[in-house]
Amino acid sequence: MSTRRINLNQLTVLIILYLIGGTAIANVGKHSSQDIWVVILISSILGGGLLILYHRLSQLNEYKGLPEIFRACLGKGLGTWVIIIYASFFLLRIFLLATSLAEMAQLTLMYGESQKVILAVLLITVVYCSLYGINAIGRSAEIFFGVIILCLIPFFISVFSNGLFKYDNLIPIFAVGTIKIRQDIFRTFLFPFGELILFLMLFQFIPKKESHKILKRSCIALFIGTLIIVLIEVMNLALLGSDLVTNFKYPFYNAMQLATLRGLIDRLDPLAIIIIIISGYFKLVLYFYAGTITIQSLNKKFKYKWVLLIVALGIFFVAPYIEYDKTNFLVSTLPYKIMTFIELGIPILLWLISEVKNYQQTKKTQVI
Amino acid sequence: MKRILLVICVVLLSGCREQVGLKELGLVAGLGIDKIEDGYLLTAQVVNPNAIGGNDSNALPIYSVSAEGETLYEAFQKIDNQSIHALYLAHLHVIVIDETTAEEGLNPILDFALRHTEIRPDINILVAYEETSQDILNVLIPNDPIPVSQLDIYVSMVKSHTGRLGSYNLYDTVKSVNKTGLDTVLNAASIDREPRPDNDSEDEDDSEDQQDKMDVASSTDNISKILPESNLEIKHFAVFNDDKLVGYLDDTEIQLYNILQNKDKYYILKIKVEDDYYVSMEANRVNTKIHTQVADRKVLINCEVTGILTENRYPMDLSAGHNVEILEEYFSEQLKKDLLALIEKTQTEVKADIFRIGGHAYNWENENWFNVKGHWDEIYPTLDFEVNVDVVIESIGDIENLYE
Repeated sequence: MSTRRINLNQLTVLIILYLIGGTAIANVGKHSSQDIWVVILISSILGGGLLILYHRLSQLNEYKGLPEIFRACLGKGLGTWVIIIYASFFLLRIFLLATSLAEMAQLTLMYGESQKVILAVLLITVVYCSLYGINAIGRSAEIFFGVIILCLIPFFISVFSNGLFKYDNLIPIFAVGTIKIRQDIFRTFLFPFGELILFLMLFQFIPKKESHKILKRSCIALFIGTLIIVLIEVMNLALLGSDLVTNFKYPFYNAMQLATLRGLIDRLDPLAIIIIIISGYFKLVLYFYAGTITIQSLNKKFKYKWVLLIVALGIFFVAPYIEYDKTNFLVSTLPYKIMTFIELGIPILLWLISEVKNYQQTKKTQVI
Repeated sequence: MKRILLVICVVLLSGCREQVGLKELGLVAGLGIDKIEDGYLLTAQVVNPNAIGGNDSNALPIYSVSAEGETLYEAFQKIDNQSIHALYLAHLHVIVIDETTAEEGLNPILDFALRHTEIRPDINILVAYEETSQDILNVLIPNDPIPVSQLDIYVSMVKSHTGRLGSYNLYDTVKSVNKTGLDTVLNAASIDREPRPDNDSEDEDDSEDQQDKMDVASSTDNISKILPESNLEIKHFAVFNDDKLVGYLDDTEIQLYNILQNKDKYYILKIKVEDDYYVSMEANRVNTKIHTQVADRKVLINCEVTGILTENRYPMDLSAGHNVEILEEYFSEQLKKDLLALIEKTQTEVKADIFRIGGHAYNWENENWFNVKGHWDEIYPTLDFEVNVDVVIESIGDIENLYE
């Protein structure tokens, strides 16, 4: 494995891409009709609280990786079982993301192409990038973040210059009732914001002298990521209306189909695909990387590249045999109770244990 | 390891898998849907790349293929099998549907169009007015090698200028058809078969005459004349209640509709003063505001129309400001009368909320809207409309008075 270090800028863009990635594919908050953007805003605030919790947990454990935190807090035996649970969670997420991306590419760009071929190409590129380690992932993310911003600019110009933005589609606010909104806020809080738990595996790669800036940078990334997601959702709503946003599988792609810069770029929808694929790809790579090093931590004999390869081959060969809900399955396949347990329950428990341990440690130091 | 990956990438990423050459592609420019007894008759107007590229000057630039099917997709597959080219829908400009299909409902067509990711949303859906859609697609016209693209250009390019056309893409239509309080309208295409001075004939049998003209319309004879016997035109709006065709608006009513939809276009307003003198103006700025009070069953429409005087036959001194104000009054009265007549037509004749009054109520009176939403179709015809019109002539042109 190559260099295992990323700088704060790379962490920032990785968090942003990670947040955009899932949201662009999964059509989160769709039950809230024209209040999607409100749901995302409120969830992001709650997500900020969760991020502070994750950071505190990591900070109390000297920015060690999740497997080390599990073992330190829960002991070797129980810790190993929890590592297995998290490794399974990461693997399931890899499967869902990879099949989502492959399906999206098949439906939009490669109509008629076999999903297996698309999945194979995707997995090869993911394995290739992961082989070079987190540093290569971080550096490429910095470059591709620029590409995403460049792809978004023509979309926004087109929407406002062609009169596509229809304010009427955004009102009335809170028309669907607070119950639906509350449910959606919780779902959106778990996905994509709760998924930031993955970054507990990455904080360890920030140089120690910069670790005090991790929280600040993560919050900035959360803010920018939320801003981009909200902007995209508002555009989707203003262009398509709430009914179409709810019913389309990839509303951002459909909204981009309406946008055009006549005389310069006639079709902007390929840019939507670029944005979704790039952000989804980095989310997938991060899950791959985190999943692999989580599995690797189970046994010192496990070699990184072989684990990586086995995971990729496993996903490729097992994917066709797994039954899943084909409509918006990225969100719906994993029960929310399990997601709550993994993203909220265990981290809170670990945080409490870590706080107690830290308190005892401080007290002991004071006595000495 | 890296070498193995490199080899796999080269094999898989070369981009030539399942390729279809340009010459093998049949670019579908227009689709026509006609209702038949057991399903649909689907007609595709396919671009002939050899003729367009100039390789075969004798060939027509387009050809049509038709097939019947119980479902649209079945018919499309049959067409695909008949055609020597692999049909490609990404360049589809227009879908024309006949009146029977439109009366039965747009939903099957919209469903077909939306599930085909190749079909782009910026296509125009047109209703064939008193024609079959197959006939509309088969008319050859002199000014465009691909006839349906003329319809598309007509609708797409002219829409921003003339108030006598509407522009609704696929998504606009889908948004409206299944939503209470948002009934939609679509452009209706027809064939202009007006007898020309140079080729007027007096046949005894009208139907034979029609058939003869259709034969001419779909042959090169039609495009070899200065005044072609047949041409495509859009002079009507098809009005839908939910997804079903319920009536038509003529071109004068279309511009009144566009004024009420607050669309900045070019409108021709004309009045007849003292039953003898025509005065006309071109309005290019519209500011229409709709206020609903659904609980009281009232709708208030304030409409401000601004434009320039384009023609005056009424002998009055236009250098005097108050005379221009008198003209403005005449225009306002006439426009108000016309708007109320159109509103009445939508309430009594077609019974469709094409002005989206229900949509306004949903946006701005959300709580009241949910009380009336379930029986909006019965409530809409009983609404009491109050219309205030203010026409402003901001210029009388380059001359004050022509007559002494």
